[in-house]
Amino acid sequence: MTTSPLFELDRVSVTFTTAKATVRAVHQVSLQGYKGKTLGIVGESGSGKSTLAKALLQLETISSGKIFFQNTVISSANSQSIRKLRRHMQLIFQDPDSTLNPRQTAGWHLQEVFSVHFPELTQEERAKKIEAVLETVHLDPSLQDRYHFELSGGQKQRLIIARALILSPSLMVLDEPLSSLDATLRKSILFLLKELQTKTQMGYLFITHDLSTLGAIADTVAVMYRGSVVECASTQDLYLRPIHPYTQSLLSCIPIADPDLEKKRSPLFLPATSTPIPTGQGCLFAHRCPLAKPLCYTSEPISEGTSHTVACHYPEEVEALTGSCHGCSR
Amino acid sequence: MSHLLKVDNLVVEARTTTIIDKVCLEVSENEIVALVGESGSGKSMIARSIMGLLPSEQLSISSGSIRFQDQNLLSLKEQSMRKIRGRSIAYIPQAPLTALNPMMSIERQLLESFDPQFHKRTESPKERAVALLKRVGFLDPSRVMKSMPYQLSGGMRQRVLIAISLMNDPKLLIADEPTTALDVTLQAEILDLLQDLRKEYGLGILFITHDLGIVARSADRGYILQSGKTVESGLTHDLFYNPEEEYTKTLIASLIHHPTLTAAAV
Repeated sequence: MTTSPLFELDRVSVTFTTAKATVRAVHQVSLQGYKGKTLGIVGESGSGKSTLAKALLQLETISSGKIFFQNTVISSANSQSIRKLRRHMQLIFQDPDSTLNPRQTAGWHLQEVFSVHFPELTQEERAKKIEAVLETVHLDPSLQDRYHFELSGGQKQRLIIARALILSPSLMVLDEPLSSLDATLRKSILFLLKELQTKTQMGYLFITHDLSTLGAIADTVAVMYRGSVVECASTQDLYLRPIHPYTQSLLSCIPIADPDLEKKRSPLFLPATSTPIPTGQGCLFAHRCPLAKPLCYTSEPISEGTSHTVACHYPEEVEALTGSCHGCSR
Repeated sequence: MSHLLKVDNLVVEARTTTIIDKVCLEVSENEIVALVGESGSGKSMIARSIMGLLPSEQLSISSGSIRFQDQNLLSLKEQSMRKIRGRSIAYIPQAPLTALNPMMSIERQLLESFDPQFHKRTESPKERAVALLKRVGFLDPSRVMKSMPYQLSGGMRQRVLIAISLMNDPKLLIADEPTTALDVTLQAEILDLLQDLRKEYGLGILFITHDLGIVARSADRGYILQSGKTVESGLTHDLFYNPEEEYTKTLIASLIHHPTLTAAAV
C-alpha cells in the first residue's frame, strides 16, 4: 500500500511472569492499521486480544518488538510523551457500567477530559464543544445532569464514545464495544461508529469475539489464537476463503439467523484431541488440528503471504477441510 | 400430544406494575422452544415463575396457571414444589462463572443435587456423576470431579452445570441464556449437546435467549416477548420468513448481517 500506516506492530510480544510460569499472552504479532480503516481482531477469550490493544496504547509493557504510531516508535517513549500521545489514541471498553464513575454525572465525565488535556479552555468554550460532541453521537445535551444509573445501556455507550471524541483522536481502540448491548441497540451503535469514521477518518482497532459484527465494520480481520495471529486478510477474503482450520471452525460456529440455511450447515468442531496442550515449539493449534503432521509438533509455522497471511505449514491441504463453505454439508 | 408444560394467562405483578401480562406458552416432550426478548422483557421472570422461585416479597402471581405434567404448580406447597424443582424440572443458569459454589469441589456439587428417590437404577451417585460428565464431553471426568470451579474454564463450568441439571433425569430443562457468556465455538458445542440430549432423553427444553441466530439454529418453535407480553409465537420457520407483528420484524431487521457470511454459507 502506498500510504503509510497509522499504527504498526512489529513482532510484538507480551509476556507475563508468575511465580509458577511464564505466559506468552501475545507472541510475535505484526499488524498494521490505516487512517479511516478498521482493523478487526477476533479470537476466543484468553487469546490475547485485549492485551494486544493495551500494548498498542502503552498500557502494557511489551517484552519484545516495536510499536509505531504515526511513523514514530512509541514503544520506548517516556511517560511524558506517552501522555501527549494519548490524546490521539482513545479506548472504548466493553462494559459501560464500570467505565463510568457511579458518583458523577454524565457531564462530569466530559468535563474531566478538558481539565486533563485542555485546561486553558474557558467554560463557554468547553460547553460549546461538549454540546457539539453530544450532537455527533445523537445524545440530548440535557442528559448531562444525569447519573449513570439514570442512563440506558445505549446512552451510556454513546456517552463514552462522546468522551473519546472530544480529543478528536486519530485512533480509536474499541474493545468489545457492543457485547453488553441488546441486539436492537447493537446495530445503531455500529452505524454511529461507521458514520463517525467516515466523517473524521479515524482508524479503528475493533476487538470482538463476534465474527458477524466484525464482518459489518472491519476492512481487515486478524484471527488470534493463544497469543498469535493465525490468519489475517481483508474481510471479504477471510469470510469467503478462510484457510486456517481455526478460522474455518470459528466461521462455521456462528449461528446465522436463517433457519433454512442453518439446516444445511453443521459446525466444524475442533476439540483438543490430546492433553496436555503443547507449548514451546511447534504449532499451537496442532493438538486441535485434524490434519496435524509431525512437522506441526516440532516447528512453529510463520505467517506467510502478502495480502492474505496464514500461519500454517500446509495451507493447501487445510483449505479443503470444509469445502470452503462454513460447515455447509455439501 | 399432551403438553409437558402449559402456562396459561400468567400474570405477574409488582406492587403497582404488571411484569408479565397474560403469557401463554407450551412445551412438549422432545421439543426445543425458544423464548426470545430483549433484556427487561420478562424472560427470566417467566422461568422463575415456572420454577417457583419468584422473590415473593416483591412479586406475586396474580392470575393464570402453570401446569406441568397435568399438575398445577401454583397450587403446590413449597414442600411438594421442592420435589419437582431440580428433579423433573431442571434449570441451567446464565452465568456459569457465578452459578457454582467457589468453595466446593465439582464432585460435591454434583452429588449434592442427587436425589436417591429418582433413581431406581443400580448405579451409585458417583457413577452417575462420572457418566454424566462424560456425556457432556469431558475426556477425563475423574479429574474434573476433583477440580474446584476456578480450575475450569467458562465452557467447562457450563457443561458441569448441564451435568448437574441432568442428575435426576429431568423431563423439562429450562435453559436461561446458557451460552451468552461463552465463545462462539463453545456456544456451538453446547447447542449441539442440548440437541443430542433432547433426542436421547426426549427432553422438553425451554430455551431463553436474545440471540435470533441461536433460535434459527436450535429451536423448533419460538415465542417473542416484549415488555412482558408475548407478541408473536409460532414455528421457527414462520417467525423468520413470515413474521406478522411489527416487533418481530424489527428484531429481525436489527440483525447485523454481513453479506459475505451468508453468501459464503449458501
